[in-house]
Amino acid sequence: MASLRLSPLEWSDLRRALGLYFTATFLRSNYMLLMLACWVVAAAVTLWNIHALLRHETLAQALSHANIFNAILVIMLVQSVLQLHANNQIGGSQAPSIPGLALAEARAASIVASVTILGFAGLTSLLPVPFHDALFFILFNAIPYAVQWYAPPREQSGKKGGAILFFGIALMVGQFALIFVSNAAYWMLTRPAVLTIPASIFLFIGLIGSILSLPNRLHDSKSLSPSVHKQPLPVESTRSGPVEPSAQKPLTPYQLRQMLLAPTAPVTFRTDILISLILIPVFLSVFAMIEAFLSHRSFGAAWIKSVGTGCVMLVIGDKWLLDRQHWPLLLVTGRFGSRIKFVQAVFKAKLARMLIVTPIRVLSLVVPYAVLKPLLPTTAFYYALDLIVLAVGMTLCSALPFLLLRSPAKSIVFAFNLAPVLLIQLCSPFLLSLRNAAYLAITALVLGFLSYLFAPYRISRSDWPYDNE
Amino acid sequence: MNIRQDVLPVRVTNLTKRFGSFTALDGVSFTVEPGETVALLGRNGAGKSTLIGCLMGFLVPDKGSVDLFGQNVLDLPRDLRAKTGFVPQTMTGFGAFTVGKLIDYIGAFYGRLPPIDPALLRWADLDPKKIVKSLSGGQRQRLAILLAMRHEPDFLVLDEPVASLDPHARRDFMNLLGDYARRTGASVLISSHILSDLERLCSRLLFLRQGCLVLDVPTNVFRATTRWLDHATPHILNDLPLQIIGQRETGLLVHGWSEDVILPEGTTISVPDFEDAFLEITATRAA
Repeated sequence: MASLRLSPLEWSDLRRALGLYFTATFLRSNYMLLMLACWVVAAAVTLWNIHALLRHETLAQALSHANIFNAILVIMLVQSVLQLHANNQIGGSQAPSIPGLALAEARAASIVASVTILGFAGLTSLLPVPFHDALFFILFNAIPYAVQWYAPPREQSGKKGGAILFFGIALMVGQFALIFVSNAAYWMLTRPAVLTIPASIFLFIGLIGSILSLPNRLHDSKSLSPSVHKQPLPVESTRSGPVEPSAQKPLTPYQLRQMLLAPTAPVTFRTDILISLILIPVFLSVFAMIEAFLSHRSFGAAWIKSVGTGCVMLVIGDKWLLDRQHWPLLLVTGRFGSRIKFVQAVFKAKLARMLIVTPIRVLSLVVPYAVLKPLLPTTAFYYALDLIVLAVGMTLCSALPFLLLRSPAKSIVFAFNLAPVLLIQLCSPFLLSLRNAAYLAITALVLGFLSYLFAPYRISRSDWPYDNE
Repeated sequence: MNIRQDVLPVRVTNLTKRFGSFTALDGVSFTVEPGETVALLGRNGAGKSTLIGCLMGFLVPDKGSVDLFGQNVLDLPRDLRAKTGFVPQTMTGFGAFTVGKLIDYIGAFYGRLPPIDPALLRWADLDPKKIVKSLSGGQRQRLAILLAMRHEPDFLVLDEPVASLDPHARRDFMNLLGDYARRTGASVLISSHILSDLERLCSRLLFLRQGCLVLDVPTNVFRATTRWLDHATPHILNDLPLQIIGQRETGLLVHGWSEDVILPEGTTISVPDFEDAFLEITATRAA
């Protein structure tokens, strides 16, 4: 952990590191900024909306009518942007050898994070709520990033590290569960000062402490060049012959299709089905339990209320168009044919996966909803159909930038890759209406169809990223 | 340059590093004197990069220690860290900077610096306005070298620095490195697979095999005392008071040979090619 007392040299390091923020270097390196800008606008509209509603509604009513998740997302995206910027420097292969660099970057990130959190708390307090409640709300929703920033010191025992990890995961799960509960925001914004002030201090120290632990990453062996850990093949002599062909089993078509979508963190088709079967029922049940506890509703009523937000889980998936470093390697294997055939294979694999996984997710959402609501079987069927079309169409819409631009910037591809999740989240208040869902589904179907048909041609004629930066 | 001649730039003592059940380094010990240029040689996976990672304090040893300028590398204070320079195999990070801005930004962490050596700047031949991400692999490597040498470190570590350089840039860099070491009296430790460069540049050779330091020898001694000894019945050569560092069907590669060593009658002596010697010394052998 860094000392709070700075020497003149450290002050000058800090000034330089701070000076990088909001310069061309910062803007160029941060492909998440575009996304952040979009969501700052969405959050500002939400806050404005709440402010307007408060003229004739109570805070609880206003918060239940507005999509406060937009504001929470901004808090998260700001942390992601700061992390990306700091890691661009600290993650450099020469960074460990540069005296004071990592510490200066960590200190600068902690200052910018503190300023943005206090700024957001100030804006939230305009609702109006007391500043300490607003600060607690903002800090609580930054918990996942406190966990992500944290890098354990090299001398830390495994036991202590395990305990910290467990505590961090517990906080993250709690935060994640609460943001999906509709009146959790009201609950957090109206806690007594005796609770929120000490909790805010604790969370603030935790977040800043986590950011200041960044220099520990320099000694994290995982962050070093992969060649450091490459183990030699068990060869007995330098004059050994070539590897026996029988030792190398060719990849099956199934394995190849999995690699097309997400090679860095592949969620295989079988795993995806398993997750889809349990993800929505388990999470919505947990949210409903918390909601029922906080709002004194029945479990069934709380479950129905969570369905709108639960629709987000229909489109949670991989970064299939963002992570494309593996494409050249797979292309040269020759298993897919020409460039256009290869890109079509990627789209086909994505569509096939979505067509199998989405109905499972939709049914696990709609069947309990239809039973609890209750809905007529035909209505439930059309509703399920709408959601399936919506989710599949929106996922394919990730390729839309390629229809308009030859080589869209990483920030644009990133924004469109996340767009299905965020659009469904934005539309969640309307999704519970069959007619609205149908309109959205038809729009998504048309755009998704256009993407599926034409984007592969455009992508096959653009440059593919083939290095790591 | 202010170098304290009484303190060894590098002292590695019984260094052991494991990754899970795999022992990457096993009891490695050596020192580097001021002004020495040391080559680190070994096959892929012999432990060179792990040794460099431990030397620079990026990896934490499981046993043993590394001292730089008399101080444990894991607790190296800032002023001593500033006396080191490191060139990685490939430069990553800092992609959004322009070349000029990155040189200024990194250089400022070393305090007030003299102007960059014009020869180094000429060799690097980089456009200061170019964005790092847009540089080719070779240009990026030249930038990494420039960043590591810009503050004229007393101890410079280079991990396969020339792999991505073209032959012109490689030859010029090896000359530049030699000049730098002579001019500043800095110690240099370099790992590379371009053996001819290392033989020409380095005053000492460290051979690593399967994580063990199998030979640590001055280059001139290596040239003078390493020989192939061949004999019709080669097993009789095993009893000679020489270090056996390799073998072939007809004889042995030995270290420590001199005119004074009495050899069995019929023994033929030949000077090994440096590459052949490397292949023999660093060949992976069954435990």
